[in-house]
Amino acid sequence: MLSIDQAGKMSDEELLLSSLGDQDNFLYLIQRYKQKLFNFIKRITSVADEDAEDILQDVFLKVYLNLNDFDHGFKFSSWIYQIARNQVISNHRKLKARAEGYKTPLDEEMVRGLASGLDMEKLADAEILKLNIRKILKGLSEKYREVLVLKFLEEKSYAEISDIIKKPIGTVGSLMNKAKSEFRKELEKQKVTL
Amino acid sequence: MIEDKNFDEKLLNSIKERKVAPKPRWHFILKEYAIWIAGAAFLIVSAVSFSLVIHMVRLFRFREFGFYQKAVHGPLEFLMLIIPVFWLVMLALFVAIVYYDFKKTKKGYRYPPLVIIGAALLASAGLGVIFARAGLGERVDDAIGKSAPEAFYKHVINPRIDFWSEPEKGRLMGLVIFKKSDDEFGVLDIRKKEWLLYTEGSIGNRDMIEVGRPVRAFGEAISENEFRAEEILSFGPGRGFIMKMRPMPGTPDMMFGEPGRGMIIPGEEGSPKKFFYRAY
Repeated sequence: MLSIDQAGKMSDEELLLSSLGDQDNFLYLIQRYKQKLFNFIKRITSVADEDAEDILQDVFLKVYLNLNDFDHGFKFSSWIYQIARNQVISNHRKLKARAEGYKTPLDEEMVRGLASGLDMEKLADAEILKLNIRKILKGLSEKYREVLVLKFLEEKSYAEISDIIKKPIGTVGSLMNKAKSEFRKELEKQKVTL
Repeated sequence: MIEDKNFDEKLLNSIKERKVAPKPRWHFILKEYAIWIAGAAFLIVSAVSFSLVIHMVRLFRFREFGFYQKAVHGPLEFLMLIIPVFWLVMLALFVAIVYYDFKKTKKGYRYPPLVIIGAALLASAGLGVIFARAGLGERVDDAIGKSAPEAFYKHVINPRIDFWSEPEKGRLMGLVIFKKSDDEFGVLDIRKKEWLLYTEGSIGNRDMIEVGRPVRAFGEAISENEFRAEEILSFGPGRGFIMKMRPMPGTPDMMFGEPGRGMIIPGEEGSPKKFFYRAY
């Protein structure tokens, strides 16, 4: 098994290859991605922490089973997010029944990024924005919520989003525009005063 | 935050305990190859459909528009006769399968639907033209005409067969079974009825009138089994369908062979049945 220092210097792709040789090295990939994916799952589904952890377990299990399917023409992070998204979709109905609401923390930088992306820089009060963004995101349809979360909360590029949601970049662009417009409409609908 | 502090260790232990192992690489390679091979196969089938579309329209003569326009009841019926609807539907279906197949490849989702469908159509058209030039469209139509259920072929695949099988309305189609002279020959229609055709003064190339070959005629039925042709037309798609009416070699009263591989034996004057084609 690799030492923590050795693993720390390795790229995701190198860790993947080393996991194929030694199962224990997969631990470093779990540690690298568990929190990111946990937050992602919570942000796009609003499930309880316990359910999110169950999904996360299934995600890592699938990743491990499909290590040989990883194509080096992709970014590992896009691949693992794609698997997480698929797992969320396949658990969709079960999760909806036990939805708990968006409680994943949003840091100020993310909130400002979202406000800036939505041309709402004037909305300076990050705390108010944080609370309302959760409410608004919940009111959006999944396809719009998903791209907004990936772009502004997970800070993914359009190319990465394209690989994660398996749609052409052009489609991601138009989805993003519609999502922003839906976000503003939802804002109006909920009469949120920011 | 993940509440379970030992999440990673527990997960790894569970993987070990359940003896989970990564699926072998060949499994994924095989899957990807299968998708590409299926896509290529469906692309070839769609190209064959395109070559059939070409075959169906290639032998269409401009003056036939007039016949169809006069005979049909509306624009829809007219379009159904002049456009090879069945093969266009097949082409669309196979291109759709190629599209869904391509989307299943690892990077297929990166391309917009219009690009994939456009490329599949272009590839089908390109290959289809090559196939049509090589005579594949014609051969496939012949084979389908011979083997497809009769009603399905003449009503769905090639509705022109029905259109040209209405002698009472001046349209006759069939197989030349004997040739008495340049302007008088016998035809067996798709209902297996024999007709004596008079072509004196009609338009059309007489070279196509050859025993064992299908032919179309536009004109007027002048009796139960006599037809005066105003125009003789070469036979388009449906040759296989009409050729399957040929009796097997050795049938006592009529024998047919491939054109140019037999001889016409004249019988009693004025009796069509006494003329027959003997293959040798």
